[in-house]
Amino acid sequence: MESLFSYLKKKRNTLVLLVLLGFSLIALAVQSNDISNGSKQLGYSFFATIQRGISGVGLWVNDVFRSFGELREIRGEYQELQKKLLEYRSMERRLIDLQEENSRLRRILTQSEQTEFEHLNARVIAKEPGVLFRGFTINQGESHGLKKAAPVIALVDGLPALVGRVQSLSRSSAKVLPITDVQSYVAARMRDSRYEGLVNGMGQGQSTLIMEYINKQARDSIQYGDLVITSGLRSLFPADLYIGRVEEVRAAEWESSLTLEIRPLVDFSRLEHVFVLTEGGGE
Amino acid sequence: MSRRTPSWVFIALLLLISLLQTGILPPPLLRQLRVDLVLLFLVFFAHQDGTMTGMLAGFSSGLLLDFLSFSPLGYHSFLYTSIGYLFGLTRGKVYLDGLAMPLIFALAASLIKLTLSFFLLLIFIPDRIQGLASEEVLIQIGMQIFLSPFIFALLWLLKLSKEQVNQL
Repeated sequence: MESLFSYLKKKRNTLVLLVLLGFSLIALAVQSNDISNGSKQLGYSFFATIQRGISGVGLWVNDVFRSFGELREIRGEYQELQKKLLEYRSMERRLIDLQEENSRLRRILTQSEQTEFEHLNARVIAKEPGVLFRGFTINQGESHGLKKAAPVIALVDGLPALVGRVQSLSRSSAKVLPITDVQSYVAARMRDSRYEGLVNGMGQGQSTLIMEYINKQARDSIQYGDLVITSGLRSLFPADLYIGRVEEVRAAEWESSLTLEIRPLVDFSRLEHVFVLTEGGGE
Repeated sequence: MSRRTPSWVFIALLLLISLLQTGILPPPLLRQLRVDLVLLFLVFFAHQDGTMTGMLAGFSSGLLLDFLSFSPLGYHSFLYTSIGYLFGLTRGKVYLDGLAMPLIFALAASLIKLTLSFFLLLIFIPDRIQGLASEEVLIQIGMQIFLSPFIFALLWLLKLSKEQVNQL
């Protein structure tokens, strides 16, 4: 018995290595078919709270530094305005600038209010650290009324553009699977010619999407730059959300349908604010 | 007299780096290039403290990344446990200089991670395997190698200052 203990003690490192690797492999085997099951969800909910806290501290520090910058800018503007007060014409020009800015902001606000879908505003608080899996985390969760698979959109030049869908939820945050992911499929149609197809993400390292199963007769009706929208047919996503623009048309002779390469309207590398639709989608 | 840094300090630091890497705190450039800082820190800590710390730190930070990312549970924990163990074996056997060894360590760690990823994806998630051949992975490895001497130098500085404090 004593020799067994001394043997185990001698091989302690190897035993720990085997236990840890064994756990990882079993977890991988169980999870590889469903990456959002219970144990992962439990861990995600717990650590997401800490992640949210750290994000909060980061944002607070950012805000403090931004405040210093803003204070400096305001001081500069104040001195400038004092000088401008002496010159009527300069003040008048400044007034015109402000009027233009005001009308621009009003236009953006009106566009946002005109969005026909009921939505929740959300801010992107974290992005996927690796290169193999794509997605990001937003600061709205189950407690805010979000549902799994709810469509996520962003406004691009006033157009409601599809970003992705809610993949998993914690109480205060949610993970979003973007339409560029290989696991994302969206029922779509050409906005002008009305031909239908299926849009699929190309995954890692690719910023474009693929639209397949389009009737070959559509070849002459589809042009570079045409807009693609959601069709709403048997889909999680409501109709008429903008997906992207046609970048390339592939029409192989031996194939019975067309394949299009689509450039998404949304620039995922600069995404900061999104809207999660609370009606017309989700499970 | 210098005192040895307890293993839990390495593990706690690596967990913090994992949290920072998934959050919004790293500089935008590093976030954009998706440099694997956890890997570089893990290699340094494992070389400094041996296989047990390497394994435990790798496993715990990997598990945390699995919880917070879209990867299936067990993916990162397997990769980082293996890498922590392998680089723990170099403790006391390989002298870590200022430039050449950090570059070699970063290259070796990146290649080991790539190889292990290939087999894990091949067995468990074959539809993700094409991502390993992407340009982004090559850029990530290149950035990790480029940054390794700076990060190792920073960690050496922190270690030295701690020992100097202990001497007082």
